[in-house]
Amino acid sequence: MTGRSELVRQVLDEYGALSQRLLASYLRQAMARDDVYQLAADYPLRSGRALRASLCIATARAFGGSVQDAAASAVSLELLHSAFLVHDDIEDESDERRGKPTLHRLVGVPAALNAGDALIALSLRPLIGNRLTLGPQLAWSILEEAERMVRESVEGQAMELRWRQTTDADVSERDYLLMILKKTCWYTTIYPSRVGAMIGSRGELDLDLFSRFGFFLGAAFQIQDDLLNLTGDHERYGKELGGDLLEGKRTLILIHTLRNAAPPERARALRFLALPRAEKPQTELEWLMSTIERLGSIDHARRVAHALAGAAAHELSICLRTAPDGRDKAFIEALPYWVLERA
Amino acid sequence: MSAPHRRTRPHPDRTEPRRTWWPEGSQSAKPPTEPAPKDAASQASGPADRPRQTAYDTVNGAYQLIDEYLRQGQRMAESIWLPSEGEHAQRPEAAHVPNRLLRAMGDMTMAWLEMLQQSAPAPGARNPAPAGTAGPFSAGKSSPVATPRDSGAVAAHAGLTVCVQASRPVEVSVELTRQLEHPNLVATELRPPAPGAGPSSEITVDVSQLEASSRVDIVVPEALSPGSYSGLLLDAETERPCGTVYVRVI
Repeated sequence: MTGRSELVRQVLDEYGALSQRLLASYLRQAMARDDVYQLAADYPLRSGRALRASLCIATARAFGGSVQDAAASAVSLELLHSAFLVHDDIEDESDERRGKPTLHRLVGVPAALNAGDALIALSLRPLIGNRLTLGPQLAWSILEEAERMVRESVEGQAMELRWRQTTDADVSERDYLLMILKKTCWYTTIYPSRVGAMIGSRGELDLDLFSRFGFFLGAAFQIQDDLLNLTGDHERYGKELGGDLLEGKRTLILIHTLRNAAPPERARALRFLALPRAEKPQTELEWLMSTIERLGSIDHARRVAHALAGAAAHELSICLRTAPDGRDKAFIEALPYWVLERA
Repeated sequence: MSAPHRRTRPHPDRTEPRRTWWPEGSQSAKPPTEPAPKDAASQASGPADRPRQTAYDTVNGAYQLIDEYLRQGQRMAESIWLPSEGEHAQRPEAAHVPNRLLRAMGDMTMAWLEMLQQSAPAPGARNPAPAGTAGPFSAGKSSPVATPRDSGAVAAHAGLTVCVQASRPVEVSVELTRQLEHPNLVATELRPPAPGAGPSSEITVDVSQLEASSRVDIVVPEALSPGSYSGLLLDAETERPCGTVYVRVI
């Protein structure tokens, strides 16, 4: 493990533990009110990296804010992230999440859907509480950012679902990048860094710089996630390998394969993708994975992920040029490298 | 006689711009809006360089995407929620400005009240002299309560008492900008606002401490030239400004 990766791991552990404590506190209060929050607490309390919360807190601190200033926004984001995961797992018909069965596999789809809605409701309270710690104007601005983030994420997910439902083969790399910009980047990297910058600088910084950085970092993160889905270590990855192909997801890898496959291979791949998940034969899945490897799609995605991480590092140097040196700044600077090294 | 051989230009390879110049095998759905920079990646032409060029094209496309997105995103987001009033709809910013001003004023008032509440002493404790403002008020012959000579006026505000003696119309304003628990104030000499103007030693300003407030005695001589004169109230211990004194001789 490189020094940068070790720093990232330490900061994620520290801020992750902090976020978990605050999350647990919010959830305990909620669980005392109603049993629905017992279910809702399942995903937030499963161990995760807390990347989003850590990025929010670290960005705020890099520009002079405190952990207390950013904590509520970070907790809100983790609650919302859990809500998205619950709903995503239902939409994707996934079986595993963070090494355990998905919530809808445990309690059924209706109860899991409602638990996801409960998490959305819970995520609002910390943002409202920002009024007292950050002042009404900054709190309102963060609320507006949160509204935009949720809207972008929903629209991005809608794009992906449309592609899967229509088995639309004509999805370009640009379409894919736009989809992950909305679905993944906004709530994984853009929103946390924008809000952290707002809190740390009290609204003085140009937030579009963080949108650019967040997009490139989030895109590299997502493509690396797509790679791990096909090539990663199952135990460390926490989700089933090949799950994206079973769900028919249009990843950068699959787009490259469909564009470079011979017509008969392309037709065979499309037929496989159009089948319902439960009816997809294992042999066809294995054939498609070997075709992906043979056509160089894995290597292509890996090169793109590296280049995007490089772009993120470049944009970040502009974002952080006014931030003093320190551990939080070093942590953020290490992230473009960490997204490629993680497993 | 044979016609002389005429020199002609060579026939060009093409007679119109080449609009499909992007490299073969590019994964981008549309051509870039700007030419690719002339670096090693863009000049790659061999089969071994094609994968790298392909990755480069993807990242180039990502840059264009985010640039377009940032230009369009905010306008698009706002337009989704506008009422459907067509092209002649009033600009939303203008319509909401009065409400925004009211909200901003409400926020400021609330924050100010919260700050005062936090700094208020516990119930039963003696209240310190609050910061206050006295004036502007007028003294002098035109004052309905002034006597012809040694006319004076007294104004009192919580924490501050101002006494003015003037035989001609004057306008006086005294303001305390900081609340002090045990005020011990001194006044600087008043001077005209003109740059480089020296202090006027003719107006006397004396500050004394009463039991629960400060008293400022201002004496304006009869022969003083008309004009504006201003000075500071300082905390005697720290010499930090605590307020202002303003006198306008009419």
